[in-house]
Amino acid sequence: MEAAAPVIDMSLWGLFMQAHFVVKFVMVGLILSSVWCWAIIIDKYMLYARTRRNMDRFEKVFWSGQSLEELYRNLAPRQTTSMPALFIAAMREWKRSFEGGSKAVASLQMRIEKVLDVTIQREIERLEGRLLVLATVGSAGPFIGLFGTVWGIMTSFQSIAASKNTSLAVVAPGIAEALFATAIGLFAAIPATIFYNKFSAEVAKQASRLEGFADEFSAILSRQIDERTG
Amino acid sequence: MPNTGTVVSSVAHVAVLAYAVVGFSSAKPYEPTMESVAVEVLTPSEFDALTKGDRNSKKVADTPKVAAKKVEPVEAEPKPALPEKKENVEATQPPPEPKPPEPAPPEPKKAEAPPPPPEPKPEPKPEPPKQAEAPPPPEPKPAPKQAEAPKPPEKKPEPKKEDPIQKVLDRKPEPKKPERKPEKPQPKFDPTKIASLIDKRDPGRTPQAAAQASDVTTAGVSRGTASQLQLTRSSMLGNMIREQLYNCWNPPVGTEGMRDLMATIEFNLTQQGVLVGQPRLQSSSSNPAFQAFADSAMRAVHSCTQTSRPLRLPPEDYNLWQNVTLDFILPET
Repeated sequence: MEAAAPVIDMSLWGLFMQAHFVVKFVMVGLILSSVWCWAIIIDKYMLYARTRRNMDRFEKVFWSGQSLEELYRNLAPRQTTSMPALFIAAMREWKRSFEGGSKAVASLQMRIEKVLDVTIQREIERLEGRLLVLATVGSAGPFIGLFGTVWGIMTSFQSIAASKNTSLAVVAPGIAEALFATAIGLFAAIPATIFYNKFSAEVAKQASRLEGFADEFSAILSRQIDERTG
Repeated sequence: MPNTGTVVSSVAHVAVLAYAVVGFSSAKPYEPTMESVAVEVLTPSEFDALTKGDRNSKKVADTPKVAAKKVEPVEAEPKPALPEKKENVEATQPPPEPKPPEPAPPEPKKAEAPPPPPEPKPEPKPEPPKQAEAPPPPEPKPAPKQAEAPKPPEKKPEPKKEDPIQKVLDRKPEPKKPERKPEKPQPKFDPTKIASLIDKRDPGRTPQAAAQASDVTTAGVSRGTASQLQLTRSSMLGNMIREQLYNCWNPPVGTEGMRDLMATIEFNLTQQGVLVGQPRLQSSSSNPAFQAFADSAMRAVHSCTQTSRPLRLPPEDYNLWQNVTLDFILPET
């Protein structure tokens, strides 16, 4: 029975190495999920900024009075997203309907709206993708960290009971190491929650903007159809 | 594109972790706060000479006093202060006699001020004890005094009543005054109650004796000049052995406060303070905790009498501590 408490490495690495393997596993998992969350956050932030700029530029061009045929010819060869993708999809359907003298205009309006709807869904999916990861980490991170803490405190109490020594110097390192797991959990969960809220609001805003454009464009095409057939 | 975020995020995390590992490499220890504890160093003989104080007493005297009614005749010389003690029935006979003249002056004062009434009161007290032994003459004396005493107070309230009743709202305090004053004297000169005033304590009692008469036991002494007790060599050795063995002793959990447990252990020591043979348990008890208790005491003896850790005792008294019999009792907490 050595009465003297062993010298304890209180550095973060020391805390990590002393931890029980369950706590280690929790810590590593939380750090990886934090890395993943931040990767998603950075990606999404860039994606939304790009999408917003893209929409602004397209709207400017679209309402500048340029002919739709010309715009279509410019954009068609490129790979497009968001609003230009809506425009291309609708225009392609329109073109096909008048190609080769075929006059399949009876339900053209319906078909264009369907195509627009599908494209909007696809775009929103692209914007929303992987946001659920943030939500999951945000809500489950603290619990996972807490689990590590509870486990760590449990094992440290077991070792206290085994060593029959209750001085604070013996109790403290185990508890510090266990609380470290909760700290990492919060470290991962807080940004995930904040950015999840911010990004879901952003997605809703961009989706309503796409829907607004789709309605306007289908109104324009509907007028064109009526003029041509009328 | 997803690569950008992953790379940036990974790099940032590695940087943060690296900073944390370096930055938190060592926890800053708290400044050790040393609590100063007043320590008085006593020699063994001083320690044994300490007198026990009364825990409830607030009084700290220059010299320790133990509540005592009687002076120990052996040590103390008869002191002039003693006769003043009123409880000492035999010595107090002469003083009361000169007192009767004193009550007389209050009489003229009564007409002027109320304070006099308290004065006659204390005097009747010493007198009744006298009545048991002293001649009857003292008895009539208090009676006239007290008879006179209540009357003047009655007169005083009357002139006062005229003014306060009109001016002051409360009538109650005034009627009370005349009532109270007659009441107080009554028990004193009621002949039927004289018996209650007699000192009924057994005259043959032996009052607690001490070097000095005192009404109270003091809490302690402001200066450590305790009356010296005889310190024997063997009691000092006993204290030294007990102190060293109790330091090695871990009484079993659960026996706290069981002060009726006592393990008497006998053992032999070499001149170096090392155990010879086996310690022998000399006592027994029906208490179920006794076995564990006695075992712990045996362990204490074993662990404190090893060659690596012998008992440190004065070698010149080896004949006194060659064979030790020690009672292990849980210390008072």
